[in-house]
Amino acid sequence: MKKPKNNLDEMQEQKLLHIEQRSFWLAFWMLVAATLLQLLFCRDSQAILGECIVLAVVGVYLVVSCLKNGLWDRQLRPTPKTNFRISLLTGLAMGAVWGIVSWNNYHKLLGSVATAVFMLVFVGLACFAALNIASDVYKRKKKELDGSDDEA
Amino acid sequence: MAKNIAIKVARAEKSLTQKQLAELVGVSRQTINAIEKGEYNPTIRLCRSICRALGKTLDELFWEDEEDEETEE
Repeated sequence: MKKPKNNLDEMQEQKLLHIEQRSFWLAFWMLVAATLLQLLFCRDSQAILGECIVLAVVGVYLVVSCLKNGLWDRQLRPTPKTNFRISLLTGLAMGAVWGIVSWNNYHKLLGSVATAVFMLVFVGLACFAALNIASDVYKRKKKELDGSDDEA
Repeated sequence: MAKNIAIKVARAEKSLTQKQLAELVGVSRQTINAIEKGEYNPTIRLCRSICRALGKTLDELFWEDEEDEETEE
């Protein structure tokens, strides 16, 4: 199919991409915030199913696209130490959220603490494993891209 | 980024307005304006089109001495 003509020149295209990028991240983090707020204040966890599916699809697309193009983060490096720190932060955040959710639903302190600790460990380990696998794939892809199309 | 006086001078030599130069190279007037003001760093493709339209070389219009570049940083 023929691609429709682009009415924008290169500078306008860059500006539009920049605006779209900011809009994307605004929508992404607002969706995360909305999901967390619903999780914290609504009893019905099925209400956030739609948001979770959207976030999962976007997340998978982002990760796969970045890895395919040999891209990692702008600031962070794919080292086990950094991966551990990020996993710990994610685990702590998820532990806190699910601890509060448990408290809201059952009002049992011990149960809430146990839920928080379980989620901290589970999410932290899952995140650490996922990050390590992703950084491994990234390193292999980067090596492949850096080595390809070499001068004859 | 420093202002690109060379383009402005070359454009004036050819008696072209920003709009006319923009039409010649196929971009908007705001892009030419941004390049002249040093607010936009054009791609090499656009640089070449501007050079062709103004009858100048890349060096004449876009070359910056190391000192200038260091000052910008």
